Amino acid sequence: MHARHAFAILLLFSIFGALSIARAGATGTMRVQQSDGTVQVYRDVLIRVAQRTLRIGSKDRKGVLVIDRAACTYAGSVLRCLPSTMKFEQSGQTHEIQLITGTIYVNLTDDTQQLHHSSTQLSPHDVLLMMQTQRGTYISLHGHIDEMQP
Amino acid sequence: MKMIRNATALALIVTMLPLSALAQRRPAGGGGGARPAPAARPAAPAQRPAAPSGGFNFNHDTRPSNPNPPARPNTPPARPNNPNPPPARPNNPNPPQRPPNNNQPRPPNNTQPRPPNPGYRPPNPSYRPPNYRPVHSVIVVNPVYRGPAWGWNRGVAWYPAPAYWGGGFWGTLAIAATSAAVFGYIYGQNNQQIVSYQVQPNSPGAQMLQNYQLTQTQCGPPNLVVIYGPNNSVICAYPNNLVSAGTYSLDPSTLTISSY
Repeated sequence: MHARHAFAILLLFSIFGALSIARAGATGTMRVQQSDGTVQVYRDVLIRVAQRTLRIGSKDRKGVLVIDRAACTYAGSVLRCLPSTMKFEQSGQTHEIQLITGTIYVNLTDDTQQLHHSSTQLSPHDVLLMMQTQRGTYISLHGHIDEMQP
Repeated sequence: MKMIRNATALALIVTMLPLSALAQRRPAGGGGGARPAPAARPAAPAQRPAAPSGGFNFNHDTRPSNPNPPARPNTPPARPNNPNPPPARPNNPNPPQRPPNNNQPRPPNNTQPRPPNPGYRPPNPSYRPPNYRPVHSVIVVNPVYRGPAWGWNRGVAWYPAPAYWGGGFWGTLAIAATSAAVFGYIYGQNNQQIVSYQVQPNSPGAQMLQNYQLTQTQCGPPNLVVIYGPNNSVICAYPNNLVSAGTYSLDPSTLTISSY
């Protein structure tokens, strides 16, 4: 009888643990197209908004893109920002990456928002960005804000 | 006891199942969480595995642009002397005579508003406040900044685009602090909502406020200085001895406000 109980409890714990792992993962997907045409797709990137910066972290937490300078305005209910520079932190080093163009859309509302002049919809607390660096790298990202700290 | 051991082993297997399934679905790409995109389209750009050390791969953007640029001579090559220089121009013995000053009194300056020049371009609509009437606008000269257009931005025309970056006019990225960054709203024509931003230190907007000795306050109450800025933005300030309460448009090139 004790053995059956122990089995049930262990089974419950293991299922719960497995579900927790699945839910805790970030859902952002970032696509990076280098100037030579090669493409990397990074899934499960962590999107954090903290201390007036937008931080995009790799799944293994080894690399972080930090966007801390941008001109923001509201386009309807969607916050639209034009970033200027971006920092890349990895392996203990920080590089500044110069941008040519870029737009960030953030839906801070609790409702799905339609982007102006676009068929794209942003779910609540979603981020969509497209950027081109000075070296010809195209970066796009779509995902949910995982953490938000004022 | 044996059953407990079996149960433990089974539970461990159940725990590992989703992870192993994930591992099978996602081939290791250097441990960086990056996976090559599905190669369904043959025309798609070549996929490259992520950086072997993990993280993101921004090697193209982080490596030095050109570590050994070719040395340039400091001085341009000397031009050969022209053996036949152009002859010197003789002084004009008969310079064109200007008409003598007419002693007739000139007509007074026309104080009536001029009709708009056919080539006149109205200001950027995004800077134009609702009910904008340029004919009646009165410029409030910036008491501090008297430089040329865009002189405050080292002569570079500023607008909120990365290529001509001078910082956000009212401040920096404001995603994280929407409650602090948004300083109330003004409703224009057709109930159009215009956001009021909290001006960040060192921004062009802060410089403008400082020049006019204005202190920003939350929009909404009456008898405030209301200044419309780039991108349908608006800020409000307490009136002072330089700027009286009212509505103003902003010329970002000279950090000058005009009432209307």
